[in-house]
Amino acid sequence: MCFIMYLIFILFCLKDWVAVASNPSPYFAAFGWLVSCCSMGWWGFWLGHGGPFLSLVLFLIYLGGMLVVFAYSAALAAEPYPEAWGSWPVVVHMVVYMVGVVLAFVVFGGVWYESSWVSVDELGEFSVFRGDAGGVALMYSSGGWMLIISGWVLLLTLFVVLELTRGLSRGALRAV
Amino acid sequence: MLKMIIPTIMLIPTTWLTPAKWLWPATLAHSLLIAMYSTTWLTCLAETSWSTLNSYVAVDPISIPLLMLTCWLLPLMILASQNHLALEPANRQRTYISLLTSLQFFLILAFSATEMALFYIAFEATLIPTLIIITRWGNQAERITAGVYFLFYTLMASLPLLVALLVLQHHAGSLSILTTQFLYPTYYTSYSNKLWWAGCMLAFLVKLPLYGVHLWLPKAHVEAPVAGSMILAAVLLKLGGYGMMRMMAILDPLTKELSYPFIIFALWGLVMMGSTCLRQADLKSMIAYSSVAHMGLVVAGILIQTQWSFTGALILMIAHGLTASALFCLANTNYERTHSRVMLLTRGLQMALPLMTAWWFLATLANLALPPLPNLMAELMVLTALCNWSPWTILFTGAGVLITAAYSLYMFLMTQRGRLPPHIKSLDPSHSREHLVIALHLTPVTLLIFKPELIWTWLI
Amino acid sequence: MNPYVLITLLFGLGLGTTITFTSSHWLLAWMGLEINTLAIIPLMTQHHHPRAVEATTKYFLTQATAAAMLLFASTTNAWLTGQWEIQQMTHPFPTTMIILALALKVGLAPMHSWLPEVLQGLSLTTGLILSTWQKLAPFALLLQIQPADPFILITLGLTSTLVGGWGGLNQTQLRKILAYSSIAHLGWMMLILQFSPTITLLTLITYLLMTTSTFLVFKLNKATNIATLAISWTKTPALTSLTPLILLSLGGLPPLTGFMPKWLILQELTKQDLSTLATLTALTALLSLFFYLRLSYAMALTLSPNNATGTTPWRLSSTQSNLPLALSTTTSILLLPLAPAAMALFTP
Repeated sequence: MCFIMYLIFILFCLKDWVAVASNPSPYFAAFGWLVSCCSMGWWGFWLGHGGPFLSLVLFLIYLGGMLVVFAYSAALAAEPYPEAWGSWPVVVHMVVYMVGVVLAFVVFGGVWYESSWVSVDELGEFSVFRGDAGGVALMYSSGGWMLIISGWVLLLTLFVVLELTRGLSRGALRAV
Repeated sequence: MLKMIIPTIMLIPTTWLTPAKWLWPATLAHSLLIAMYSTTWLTCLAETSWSTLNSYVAVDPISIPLLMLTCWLLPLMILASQNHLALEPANRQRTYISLLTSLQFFLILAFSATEMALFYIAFEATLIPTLIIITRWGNQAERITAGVYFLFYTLMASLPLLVALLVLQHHAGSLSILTTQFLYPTYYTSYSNKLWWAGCMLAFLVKLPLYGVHLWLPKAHVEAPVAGSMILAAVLLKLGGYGMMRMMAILDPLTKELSYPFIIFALWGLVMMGSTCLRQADLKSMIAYSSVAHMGLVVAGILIQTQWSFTGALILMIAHGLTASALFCLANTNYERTHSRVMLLTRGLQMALPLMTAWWFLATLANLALPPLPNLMAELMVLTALCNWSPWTILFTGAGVLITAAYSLYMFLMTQRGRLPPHIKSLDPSHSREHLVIALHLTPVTLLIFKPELIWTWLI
Repeated sequence: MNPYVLITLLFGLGLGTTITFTSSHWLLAWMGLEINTLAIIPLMTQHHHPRAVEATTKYFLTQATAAAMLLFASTTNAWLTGQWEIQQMTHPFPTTMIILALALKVGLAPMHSWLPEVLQGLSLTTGLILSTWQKLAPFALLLQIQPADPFILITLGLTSTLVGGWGGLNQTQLRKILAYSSIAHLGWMMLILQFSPTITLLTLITYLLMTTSTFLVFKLNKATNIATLAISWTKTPALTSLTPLILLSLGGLPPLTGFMPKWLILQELTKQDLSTLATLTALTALLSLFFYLRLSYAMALTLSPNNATGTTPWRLSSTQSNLPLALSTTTSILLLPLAPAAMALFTP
């Protein structure tokens, strides 16, 4: 199981990172990110290691957040002639990154491998309740104010992003 | 003490609330009243030690003459500046007088503080008004440099003084001047103690100034307006001498060895600065260098720490304060007429302003220490004490006195005697205000001949 | 900017600092810092100017780096010692890392380069917030940390006073000068931090007062460089003649407020037998004093020749409220005699 998870991690995550990092138009980059999070990325990885609740939360939050990002970049950075993953410069970037990742794996890969991980389930015998569910419950019961503040911060972030990007010609952080 | 400090503070409302027409007479009268009232301190001279003592300020026979000099100088400065400021708007005139007043306030605090920390703060506080007077009302563009030199020379030396004082406070537990004589003296002769000694002394040596760290003074004097030059020469330099006298009581066993280089610098400076005066072309600069030379005697007198030399230094500070201030006033009367400080261009003024020549003559004689003026008493006392300390010093002091006479005469002859140069044909006649200023400078000098114990009570 | 959005953002600024103030847990403190950073970013780009955007980007990157370092260090601390409490920092490695992160956040010397650039891109109001309010939260954290190694704070402090002095010497832009002045003052606070946090707090508050009045004066004169200062006497003559006193107070000359923190710091350092350090630090203050003096020269002590149009700005009256300026100017000039009261106020 661990090995399969390891492969999933390597393949999906690295592929998606390369998809984002290969410098396509923002539209495609955000899309790549969305795909990377919603496909068998981190959450699937976590699920495989025995943390279904956290992986579900992670999936929902990431899906929501990434959809927002995708919507924003689609709305604000739509270009008439986008650089998709098929374009030459992007392909060149992808190839270079892939080669870089493979090289890095060959050089450093021996140090960091799957058997150094501990799955959540393994510690199940030592505790009364499941680690992930218990942690979330603890956070709700003793850190409720923190969650309220976090919700407020999300609103604040929304305002900040809007302020930074609003207006066709007056937005602060616009590429085009 | 509040009888002096509060009227001084109230001079600022007087300045700002008087109608512009009466500005100068009102402030002059007010400050003269303060000066007159300061003579009540003379009754304290009969007592041997501190009087009018409260928790922050007090006077004793060292500080009384300097305090009276401070109070006396303010009306003289107001009198002397009238023409210089005549063309300025009323509010700027008021600002100027307020600055002079604040200077007097800080100087009274400095001279009467019973705590070294308060003395230090007041000592530093005089920098800001002086800086503004020099750089805002000076005449040439070089006044900017002069202000920077003035501020940074003084601060460079006085920040170590602050640290040295704080160290002393940490070790002795008190900075009170009243009890410094009774402090357990530091017998350590370690390297850090020597540095501490230097820290305590350097600020005052720069302020006086000692030959070698004097470069700021001629610049400041030359660029400052007349009141700035007057207060600088008459009182601000004396802050250094006063501070040294106060600190000497604490530094006792170290001073004996460590003072040699400074005495040598002071005496060598006496000769060097006198020689520099002999070849000066600039009148104000010459008077400034002459101040440095005289202050050399003060430094040497204070550093050898005998009764006679201390008293001589104190008398010299008072006498030189009045004389140098009078000379700066005279130089300013010339400058206001000819708009030049160069002696080559302002010669033969006896023909044009004969009565002024009489004042020039008296002031010059006071500067070269003619008997029986207090200047002579001072020089004789310091010279005698120095000769007693080491007979070889007579080489420098004797040469110094000779050169002083030479350059004083040179100054007098250059400015007053000879033919009037052709380019100055129409000089304004002397104003009675100017005569009054010089008379008010020279009268105390003359009167002190008859009752010198007013400024040498410390000896008795 | 929409007033509702502005209020939300200002509330965010206050909320972030308050959370950091009140937290005893590193995670919450970190959250407060992040809210703070997030909320000021739109304020920085209020005027959509390339310089403002550049400044915002630089600010965001440095603050994000600092916050990430802080988070990493506090997590490491929890990992090593099992402790999330701010006041229970025992391991030297996370402590040092947190001090460095906070130093980057406020702009202390080896990590200072962003501050002049960022401040230069902002309007004077936002600059005022950046150099006053934004310093509070990191300082609230710094005051609670006991460093394991005494040299790190002294090194940071001395380097800052030196860099702050030297950096400002050849600047003609007021906001950059104020940034370097901020670096130098923060250096003084760092020097004394491990010996007497009370004095650090006092220094911080007096610095905030003095820098507030300086910013407000410059804002009233609409001045962003030294040349503009030279005609400020045509707009506000009385204030122009007071400003040298504010500037010299920033420089720390004796009868003014600025001398009080310097005096107390030097006294505390000599009590710790660090006289050499005290002397060195005192002398570095002269470097900063030089550029304050230069500003004073340009503003009030010399009168530059002007043509007729140069002297007309007195016709334009300002809408800025004068009360904060009056209060902060008075306190930043006249507070020295109240030094014992001020000390008593800050002593816990």
